[in-house]
Amino acid sequence: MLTNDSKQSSSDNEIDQQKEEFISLVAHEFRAPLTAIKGYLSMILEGDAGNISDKARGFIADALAVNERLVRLVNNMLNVSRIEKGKLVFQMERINLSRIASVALDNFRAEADRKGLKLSLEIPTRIDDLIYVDVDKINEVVANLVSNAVKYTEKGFVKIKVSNPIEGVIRLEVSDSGPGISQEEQRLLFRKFYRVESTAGKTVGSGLGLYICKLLIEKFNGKIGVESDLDKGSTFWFELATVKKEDS
Amino acid sequence: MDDSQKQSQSIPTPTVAIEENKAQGPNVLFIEDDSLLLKMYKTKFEHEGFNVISALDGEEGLTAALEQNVDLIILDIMMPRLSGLDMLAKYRQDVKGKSVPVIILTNLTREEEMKRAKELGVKEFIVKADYTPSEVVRKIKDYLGK
Repeated sequence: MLTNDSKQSSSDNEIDQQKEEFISLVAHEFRAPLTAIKGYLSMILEGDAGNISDKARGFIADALAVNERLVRLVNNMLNVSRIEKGKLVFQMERINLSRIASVALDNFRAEADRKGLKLSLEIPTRIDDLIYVDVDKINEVVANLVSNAVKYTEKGFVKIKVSNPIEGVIRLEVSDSGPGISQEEQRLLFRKFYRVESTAGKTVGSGLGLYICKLLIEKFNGKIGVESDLDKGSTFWFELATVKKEDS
Repeated sequence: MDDSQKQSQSIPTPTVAIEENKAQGPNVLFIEDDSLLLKMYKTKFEHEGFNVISALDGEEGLTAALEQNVDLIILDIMMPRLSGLDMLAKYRQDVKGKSVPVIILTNLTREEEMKRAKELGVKEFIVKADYTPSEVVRKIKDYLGK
């Protein structure tokens, strides 16, 4: 005979499973139109539909950037419960972190330009940056960090920096000249659904991005953190161990 | 030069040009039930020199895969009549289906499907919404170049 507790937990599990199936279905349905919008807009930008004016190019780049925000939101929705339950499948491979940083720079240039922000990337000429990760997931982490910086910074700069703080470790930093975050709020920042009070309501966001970044970086045995102060901007960073080419 | 030669020289020959292209590029079978997305990928892949054979569901895709000469299959998962993975399971049972590389291009990223795809010998699993058509082409070219 089932006890009240076990009845409760099996009904919780059922609800959890239904919730997950529902999110998965909704996300799948969202992703199809998002794919088409992203695809056709990028093809227009690449000249597949002929020449377009610079003004039209700017509008399309903006639309593409907003669409990317939705893609990230859907990815975050899907990822969160899967990572928590250890059900996310990782496709691990070796990749240079500098390459991921360059992709992020390209992807956010239009949005930063539109806001008048200076977006830059700093990579030393000699760098040991080969890491063993799921490329899509590490792309998501970097995109989440750069997206936040661009979103919450009204003027000034956003800078991505890749460096080796010590041998065998690669660090990626995203610094901005945004409003900064109080010491108190920094402690809550990587929690699920937490949104910084000074910025909540000003822009779209689910409060999932940083939480997922933390789960993913920890999954890859790395560390993630923030250095910030009110009115002094913020630097979000993560560190991962580098691998040699022949390692697995 | 007689008149008939002159005439044949002045006639534009787009069909021949397309045929020449066909002989050069790899034959890719796209199995995708969303006709809007299929049109988008087909346009991009053809622009990049691929010959695209298209199918709108798993059954149509299986027939095309067995009857035509394909170098690579790009397969969606959620489709009517026969899902991508069920199609692939049937295709793998045929001699012809044992060696042709298959890449999954889907928006479904559930653990069950990803595991089953790996068991069926799928080498790459690409999430559509994460990549532009050009990036998908680049990934496929990288894969074919390996």
